[in-house]
Amino acid sequence: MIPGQLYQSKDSAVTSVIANIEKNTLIIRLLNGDKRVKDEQCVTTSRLEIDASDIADSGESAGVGRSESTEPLRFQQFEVNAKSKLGNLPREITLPNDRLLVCSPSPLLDQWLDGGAGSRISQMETKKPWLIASVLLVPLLLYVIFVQGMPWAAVKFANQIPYSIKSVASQHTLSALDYSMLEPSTLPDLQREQLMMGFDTVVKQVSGLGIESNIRVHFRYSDLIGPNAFALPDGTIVFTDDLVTLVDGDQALLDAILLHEIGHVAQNHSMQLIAESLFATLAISYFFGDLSGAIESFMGIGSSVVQNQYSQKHEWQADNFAISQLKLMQRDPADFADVMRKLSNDSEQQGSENSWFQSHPSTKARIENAESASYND
Amino acid sequence: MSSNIDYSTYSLEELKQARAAIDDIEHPERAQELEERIAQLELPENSSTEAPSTGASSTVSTASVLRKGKVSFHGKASEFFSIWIVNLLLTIVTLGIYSAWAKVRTNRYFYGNTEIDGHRFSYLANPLQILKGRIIAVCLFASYFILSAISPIAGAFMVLALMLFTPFMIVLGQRFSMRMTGYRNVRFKFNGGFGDAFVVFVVLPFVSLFTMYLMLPWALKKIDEYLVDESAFGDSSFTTKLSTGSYYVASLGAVGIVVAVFLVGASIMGFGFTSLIQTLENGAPLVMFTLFAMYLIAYAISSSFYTALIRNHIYESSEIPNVAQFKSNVGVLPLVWLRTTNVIAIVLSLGFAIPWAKIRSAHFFANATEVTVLSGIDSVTSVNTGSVGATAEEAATLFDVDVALG
Repeated sequence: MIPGQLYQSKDSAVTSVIANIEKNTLIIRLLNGDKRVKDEQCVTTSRLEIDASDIADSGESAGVGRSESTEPLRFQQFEVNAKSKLGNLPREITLPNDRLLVCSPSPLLDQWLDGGAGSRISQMETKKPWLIASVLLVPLLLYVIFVQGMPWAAVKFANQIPYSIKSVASQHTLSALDYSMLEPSTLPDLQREQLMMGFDTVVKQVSGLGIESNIRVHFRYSDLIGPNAFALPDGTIVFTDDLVTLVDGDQALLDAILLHEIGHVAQNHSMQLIAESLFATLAISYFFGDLSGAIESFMGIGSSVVQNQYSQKHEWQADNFAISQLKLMQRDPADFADVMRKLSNDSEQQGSENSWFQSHPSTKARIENAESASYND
Repeated sequence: MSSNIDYSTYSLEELKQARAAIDDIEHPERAQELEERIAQLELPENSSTEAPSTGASSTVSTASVLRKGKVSFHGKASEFFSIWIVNLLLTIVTLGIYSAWAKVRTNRYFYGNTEIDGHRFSYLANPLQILKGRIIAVCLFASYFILSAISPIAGAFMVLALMLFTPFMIVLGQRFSMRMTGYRNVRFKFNGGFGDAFVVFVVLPFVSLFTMYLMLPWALKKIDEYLVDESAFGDSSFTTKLSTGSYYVASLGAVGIVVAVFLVGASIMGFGFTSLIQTLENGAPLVMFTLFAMYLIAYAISSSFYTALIRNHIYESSEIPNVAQFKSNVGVLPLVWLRTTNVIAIVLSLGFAIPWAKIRSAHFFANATEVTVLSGIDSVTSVNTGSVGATAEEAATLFDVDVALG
């Protein structure tokens, strides 16, 4: 005996019922022992007429009299449609003609609807071993996906992007930057030409990458970004005047920076970062989606932490590219350490401790990395 | 038949029906009791407001109050935790594909555990519909993301296009989520048109930019009004009368709280803006941390203030004529406490407290919500059972976007 409620298809009318499984058949008895239900039925005879005709339509015994309505409704398994079991929710069973039976959960009914074992998902949700496995597997898989899977997929993705797209992207980006935060260089023409010649020799020495011919160096003046250099995906590399002044135009130091930026270009970092940010955003929103308010803004922080981790990793790769190239050219990796030190002395914010929120690794660690490479010689 | 029927739970309408149905000769004592109770109830009913019968339907002439009660939520954190962790595992293993099934199970759990007047809600979406919507959404999002990352110029155009596109997404999403919500085997419905959506979601907020946001609270009111007014339960529409004043109080209060938090924060730390920059050079992490904490505190208090006031106001001023009335009494401080402790628990548990936080929030909002059921509840007619407007409905199922109604 399972208490339930029977909802009609045409409107919000409800009847209390008792359901039962007898001889593999679902039997629904209207509760007419309850005076209240009977009263309701007296008033709403039209509703029962709909019922009776529905049942006649579906070719069942049209025995539901509207005077007594004691004749139970009978349904075979194939006639009904139930949603899978979920937690301890009442079972919702769709009957023919879109009527809905909602019953308190009962093992008898569950077995009739789902078969002996019950639905596979609901088993996973209720069996201890599955739960323990899930609790252990989820963090492990998340780690593998974010640390191994996504960077791997990002490299594959980035390598698919043709040079023409990278070139258009770089042109657009540079003109947007020229419009917003960059101005023409104020360095003397002679100094720029000399630096360019120096850079040319470095680029020629960086061999076997197939990108040497794409490297183009530009100088720009900028109040906003101070001493800085950056690379665009097609090989365009921009130095700010402030950076050149900061190192007193020292060619060796600027070469080290150039190599770092070439490292970004050679390893396709900008395209990888786009892919990594995209994958991380999608993964976080679909894995932990359907959150609201404060929790969601926390997820936003999580997603930028993930992206910063990826970009820190790229900085390390570019640093190590520069260091190994300097070694190949028989030059001292300490040059790179020197220029980093100069940059960090100049900058107001020295590498603060919460490196999770930073897109660049701490400068101190980068200097140590370059110096240790130098001592190893 | 020793039937001692408790008529005290009956509403006036039910008593009248019972009286009409009962046999005077067989049960004289019951007929008498019924008459007494009817007389008792009719007295205050007539003297008080006879419910301004807004287009009362032919079957129900007066909307008498049947029952009044809080929304009850039956979900349990432990039960939902296991549903959540299995969902998460399967979503990861299938690289996101299972997320459509996960969403259906999650929504079914929350809808099915929410009970009003003895009946539970049901979530009716089919995972495949959601998967289809998600695949399209991922493609659109990825092309937008890549294009705007590659070319800032194209990105700017995309942002503009997206702004114009947003109202359509909201309407389609709202249609979908309403259609997928059932109560007493009757689906909800959203009737909002694209034109109105474009006005309230794009034109009004854009115009309010030129009034230095002074018009924004009014624009927010128009948005909420649109969302509520265009919703319906079966063939019975929601109606709402929101007051512009409440939106100004809530918005100005929220802004005031942000200002107050930063003023108090700055004075407690005992330095003005100039010394702040000096400290930046020495103890940068500490200052950054303090600013971040102040931002969080300001956000938590002011957003809770706004949410609580506006939710209470919307519920108070909305109804389904003849079917239901609503009341919400969310307190600002309890909401601040709920959200703050939720975030702390989630951070400290590395995310494992998410299911607990969601169940707890559902309990909180259910507890703060009261629904008065009127006599029309038993005769709300279902709509859209057939294939009316199949193209629009088909399109609606393509996008699965949720707009939170607070």
